[in-house]
Amino acid sequence: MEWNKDKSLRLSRICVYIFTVIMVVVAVLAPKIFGTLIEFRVHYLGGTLPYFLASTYTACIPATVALWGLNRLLGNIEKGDVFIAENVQIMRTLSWRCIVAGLICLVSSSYYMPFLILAAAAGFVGLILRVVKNVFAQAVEIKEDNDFTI
Amino acid sequence: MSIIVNIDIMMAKRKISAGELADRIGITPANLSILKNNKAKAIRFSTLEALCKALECQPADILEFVDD
Repeated sequence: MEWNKDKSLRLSRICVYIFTVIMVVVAVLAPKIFGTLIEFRVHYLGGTLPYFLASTYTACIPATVALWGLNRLLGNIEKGDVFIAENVQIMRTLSWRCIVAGLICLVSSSYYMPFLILAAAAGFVGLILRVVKNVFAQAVEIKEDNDFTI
Repeated sequence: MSIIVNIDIMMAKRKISAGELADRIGITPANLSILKNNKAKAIRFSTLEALCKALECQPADILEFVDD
């Protein structure tokens, strides 16, 4: 099987859908998942279930927006619209959503320390996306210049 | 826009249509329209050369500087 751009895009789309399903499942099963975790670590996590649920459901909002943005970005790339202003806007939104998710994790680390690792990871991804967004914005300008050079 | 492209005037003088001119200089009618409507950001020397050849004129007959 020969690998090509279209198959890669399809794989990315499938991954976005899988991630969406995982997010929905985690959101639905969150009380059970965190309940079990707290049961095992009851000596220092006792009574924190509402905090875990609040963190999970709050983080679901930027995650949903980010997944929707990724889906739109992939749709535009499939149509051949790569270096367009809309994609720069989507990347900016993605970057901010990652930073918001990082902040939620940072606040959540006050009751469960491992969230600090997630906060750092989300913040770093947000930073990378921001740099890629800047590159994209420059590319859009160059493309516009090129398109209007006759 | 400080640089005005006066292709319309030269086309009228030479009695040449947009489609024919686009065909002669080897650009698409859409790109010629961008040039004619002063929407272009830059013009290649090769395009300018082809335009001058097709319209039998000098670059100054096509391009004009207007101080805003």
